[in-house]
Amino acid sequence: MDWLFDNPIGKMSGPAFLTLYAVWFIFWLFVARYVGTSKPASPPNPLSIPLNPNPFHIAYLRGGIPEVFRTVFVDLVEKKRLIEVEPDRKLYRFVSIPTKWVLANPMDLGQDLTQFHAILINGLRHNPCSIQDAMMQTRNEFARKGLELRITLETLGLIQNERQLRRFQALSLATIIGFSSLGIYKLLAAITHGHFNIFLLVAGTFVGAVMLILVGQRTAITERGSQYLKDLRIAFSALKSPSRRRDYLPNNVFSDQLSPTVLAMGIFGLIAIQNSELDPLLHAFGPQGLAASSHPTGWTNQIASGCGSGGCGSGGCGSGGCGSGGCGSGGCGSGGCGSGGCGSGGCGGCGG
Amino acid sequence: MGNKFSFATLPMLGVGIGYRQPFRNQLFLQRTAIDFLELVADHFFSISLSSQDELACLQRNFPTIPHGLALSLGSADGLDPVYTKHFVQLLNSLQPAWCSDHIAFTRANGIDIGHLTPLPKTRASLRVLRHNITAFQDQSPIPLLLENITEPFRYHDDQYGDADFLCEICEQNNVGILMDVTNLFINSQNYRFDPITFLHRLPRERLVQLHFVGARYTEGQWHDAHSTPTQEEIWQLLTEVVKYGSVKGIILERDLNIPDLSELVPELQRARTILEEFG
Repeated sequence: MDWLFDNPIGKMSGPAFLTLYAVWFIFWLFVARYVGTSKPASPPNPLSIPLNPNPFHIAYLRGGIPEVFRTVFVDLVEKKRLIEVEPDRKLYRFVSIPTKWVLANPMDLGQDLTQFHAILINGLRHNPCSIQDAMMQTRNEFARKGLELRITLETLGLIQNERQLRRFQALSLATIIGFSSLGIYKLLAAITHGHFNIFLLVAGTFVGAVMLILVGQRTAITERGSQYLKDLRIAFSALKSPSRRRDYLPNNVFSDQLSPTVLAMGIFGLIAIQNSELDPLLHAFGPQGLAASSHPTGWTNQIASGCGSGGCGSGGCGSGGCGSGGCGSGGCGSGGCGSGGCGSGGCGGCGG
Repeated sequence: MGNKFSFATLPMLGVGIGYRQPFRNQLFLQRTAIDFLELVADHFFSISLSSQDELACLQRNFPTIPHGLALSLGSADGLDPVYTKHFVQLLNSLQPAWCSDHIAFTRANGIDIGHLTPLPKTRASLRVLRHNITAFQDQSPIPLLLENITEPFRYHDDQYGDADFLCEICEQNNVGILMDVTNLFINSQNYRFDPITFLHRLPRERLVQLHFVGARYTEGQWHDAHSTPTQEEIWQLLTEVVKYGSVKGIILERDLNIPDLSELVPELQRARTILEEFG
């Protein structure tokens, strides 16, 4: 067994091994990037824009359930079926509290609208609540109904299906195993040789693996799906501007049921209501909501699978959750292996 | 390759509009009224990403036919290689059922005239056209249609009549005809000839596509302004052309005074009815 650890890599000094490990990491970073940016296979022929585009399908395609929720919410506010409740200014003079919303007509069942509308109306029936509370209250039901949307979009080849998702996860896992195998081997070699100063190696492996996960994140949307979204944005570019939306008259697409604003919400997200009479809603959704909603193809496999299709607001699962703050350069930056950490006699942190 | 082509095999495209950017916002809301789009080729020579995205979006959602403005097939100094290259690249990317340009010249001695200028109807013009059309067809196998233009003036040394000149062009080069019904109406009014007699002298199997739009009458002359609804006389002439030819596509052209697309839908419906009834 001597050959297993008594070889050039097993006996490599700390700084030399760290250099090798960095190169090794960069290689796997490229692999992860390639895996992440490659679009899931989809039917080669593009999907043409339908005669009556469904804003809720489009919203789901763009950002999953959170986007459907936002679109439905904005639609109900625009239809004046949800109204804002003024907070008691005497009580909350010095405290900022989220805006609360209530049904304009408590007998409203929302049955003339979509099932998503009915879920939200039902969720808001009893007490005024903030957007965030409404989202929490209705998330399970939205998730259940969202499954139908998901299946429709999968069938159309617009988002990846379970098989593609599993294949991608396997590839992602293989990337991480590929990268960390060298670190784990060196770890075992270091312990075998009686070197227990392995902190940097362990931390480097952990940080590297997390970075590979982040870099390798892939949108759930397929090539066909992103092309479809792109076409919708081009075809309905005028809907993005509230002033130009007023030019759209009721026709074969728009009616009392479907307003240009809702289709714009489906296609462009919350940015479509900026500078419109619905602008105050933007503050209610918060800057995080606007940022997540306005991302062109916002959702990743992590949202699609890991967080459950309903439970995760796009803010919660966006870059904030595992972003550069948590695992970025601060944790394992150059300071850790600088002149203080890595003495000339051997690398204090990596078992060399 | 283009010379061996039979126009009878071209697909029926139906009724559409000459695509202009202001139409885009309503285009997808009125798509039941639009079977295909005619794109001004020159507008899509740009390599800008937005232009390419727009083209790809249109191509994915409608059958598209490119229509050139400045191939200048009547230029004695030959085709502009840069323009031709762009046009051929566009054809390669769109792979349309056919493409079109005008029986005119827009360039002389390397100078861009900026207007579709009529050709003298002479043997020399036919030779120039033949040379240029062959050069174009050598670069692209896509069937080529040529459009009649309005003639603000005529040459006194013409050697051919209108119909004979057009027939010669078709026969010598195996090109189809894009009959601009409005231009035919305007020329027939301004130069006092019978458009039906003219029409019946043309090879009917080569009458593949039509253009139509309203004409404008000012100062005793008819003008092609692309800015008004189609007059009844033009509708009647369009019906006659559809009855006579083997029309595969009709395009409504509006370039000025562009209304909401929904206002053009009745005109498109009427053209469709004519095509379905008499085509």
